[in-house]
Amino acid sequence: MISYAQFKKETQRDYRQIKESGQSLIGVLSLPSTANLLSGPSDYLFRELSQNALSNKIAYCIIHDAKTKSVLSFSPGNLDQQVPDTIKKQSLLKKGFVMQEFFTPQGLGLIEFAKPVFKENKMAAVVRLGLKLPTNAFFTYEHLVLPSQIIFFILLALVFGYYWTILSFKHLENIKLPDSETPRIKQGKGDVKDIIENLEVYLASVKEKTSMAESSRQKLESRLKISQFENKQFFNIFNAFDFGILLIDSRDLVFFANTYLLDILGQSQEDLINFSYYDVIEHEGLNAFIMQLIAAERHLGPKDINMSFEETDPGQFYQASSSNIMDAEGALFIRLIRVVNVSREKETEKLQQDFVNHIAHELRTPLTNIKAYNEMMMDGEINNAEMQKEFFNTINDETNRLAKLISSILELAETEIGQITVTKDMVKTDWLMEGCIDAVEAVAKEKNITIERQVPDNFPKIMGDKEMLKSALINILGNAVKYSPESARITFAIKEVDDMVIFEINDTGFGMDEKDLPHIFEKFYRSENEDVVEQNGSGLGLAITAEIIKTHDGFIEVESELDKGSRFTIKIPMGDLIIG
Amino acid sequence: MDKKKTILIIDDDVHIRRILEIKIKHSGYNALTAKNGKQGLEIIQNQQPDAVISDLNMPRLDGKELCLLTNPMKKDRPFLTIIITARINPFEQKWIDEMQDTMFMEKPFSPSKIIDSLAKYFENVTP
Repeated sequence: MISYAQFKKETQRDYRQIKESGQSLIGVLSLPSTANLLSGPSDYLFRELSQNALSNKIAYCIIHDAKTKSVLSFSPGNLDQQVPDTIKKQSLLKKGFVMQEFFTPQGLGLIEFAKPVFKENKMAAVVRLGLKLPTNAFFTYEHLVLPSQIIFFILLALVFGYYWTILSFKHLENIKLPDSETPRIKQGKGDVKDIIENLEVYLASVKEKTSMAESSRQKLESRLKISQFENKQFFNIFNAFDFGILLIDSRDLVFFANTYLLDILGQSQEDLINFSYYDVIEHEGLNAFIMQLIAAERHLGPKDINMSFEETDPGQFYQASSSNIMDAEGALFIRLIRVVNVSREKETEKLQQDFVNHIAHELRTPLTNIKAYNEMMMDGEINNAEMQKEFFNTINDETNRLAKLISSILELAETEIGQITVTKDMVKTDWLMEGCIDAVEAVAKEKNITIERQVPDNFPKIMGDKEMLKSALINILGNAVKYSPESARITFAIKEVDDMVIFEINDTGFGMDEKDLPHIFEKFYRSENEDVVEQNGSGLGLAITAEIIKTHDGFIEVESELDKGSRFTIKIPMGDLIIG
Repeated sequence: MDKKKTILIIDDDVHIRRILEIKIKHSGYNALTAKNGKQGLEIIQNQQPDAVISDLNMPRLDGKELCLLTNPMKKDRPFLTIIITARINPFEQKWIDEMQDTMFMEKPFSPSKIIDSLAKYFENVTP
């Protein structure tokens, strides 16, 4: 095929070249100077024609005079003798360029170009040029050599292939397959009895093979059941997870969704399984997330995304993330999408953020006062002596407030992260009571507040850190003084009940709103009650107290009513007292 | 001469209210004070101050809630709001940017800077 196409192409090219050469040559030969040859030497022309590169294609060249008589002839093979008369006549009689193709009686293809030669506007001669047409024989040596080589190599390959196969099968003859036993055919006389016996042998063989096939089928069936059981077990495990699982195969069909996910999606297995995720997952956020994952598989795409399921689980925050599971060849097998409830983490994050904001607010407020009051003094804006004193006092108070706040924050941080050193020792409760009252007495006196002691006959002793316990009790007693109106009455009682020491601080102060009570031990929580807001406070005192009580395995309880007062009860186990 | 501008100071901290009041009066403005956002809102509605300086973290209507409530009023009667905050984060910056004629000042601030901001605002709005 290749050779034939090449041959066709070459033939067309040669044919075109012959025509172009003939037209060009006849043009040169029919120039007026050619007419001179009729009366002069013609050797030059013939020498030129013989030496012409195309001479092997030139069949003949004849120059006729005005009366069509041949006067000069160049015909190496006497081929001009084989030109049919009709061709010759056409060339000589037509007064213009003629090109004619024809075959000689011997079957040689020729093309004749003829053109008259004009001299002084009169036809002086006619030039006839015959060129050999390219051969159209395909089966030449040049054309057959390539196909022959191809055929030779194919035959060689076949011979090698045959012998290689024969040699290979020789080795296989030695291998005996257990289930390929040929039925033992009885070589009898070939009568009906023999035929029946042979049929029985065949039948037994068929039965044996059927039974083997049945056994294989049963094995496969049991394997399938095991596989299905294993799948079910996996699905059961997935269903036990407290987060959503969605499996999508490489064709984007939903392969599995666990019950957790179905619950938050509000859809059933039947809605999803074996359907394209795109068509069936109704939650827009999750659907878009999977689509983005698939689109960005070759690039950097979203690793996780936050979403919510307002219809099925309002107010909760979820986070979807994914991972691809590959098969042994490294191709994508399953996309696994996890949908996890991150509300608690979000809440913690918010609490931490609030905590930082509170600390910043609490620290920067006294700092602002110190800076602002100081700046005004430095700028000389305050000339009045009394006002200057007020400013200095404020700067002093705010510096103390800042120092106290920093101590509280450090104390709380140390207690919370367990870094504080708790030195447990035998603590006398009478010492605790007096120490606390001493600490708040000055402020109480300013407000004309009375602190009444209610003491047992024998003060109990407890095992604990006396400084920490004193600090905890001062926080509560201090609050009672701070948030009580002038001339109020506070009672401080100590009791011993069932190996517990009970401290009770009761005031008749502003009290607390019911909505504030659950939050009073939270860090930085401050009531919006105007009487509370009026007083400086960090919102850390009760949080620190609660931590100290916890360190001593104790409890703290509070009862309060707005405008009536509060009662704080602290219970601390006495512990194993060391009598020294 | 122009009528004296009135500035409202809203802060739950007595010392901040006091120092700002003194500074504002020294700078030639009238000063009004409120202890919380709720009280401040009433004063804004009734006395129409020319500028409000408010703490962000306050009981009974905080600075953000106050801004959200007063922002629509600024269409008819623009006034400057300076929010004083201990810590500005991108989230807070975003809502402050969305409010008309509102800026923030981080604690610890300088009273002189507050006065500079007020003067600059009044200079731009007064023809």
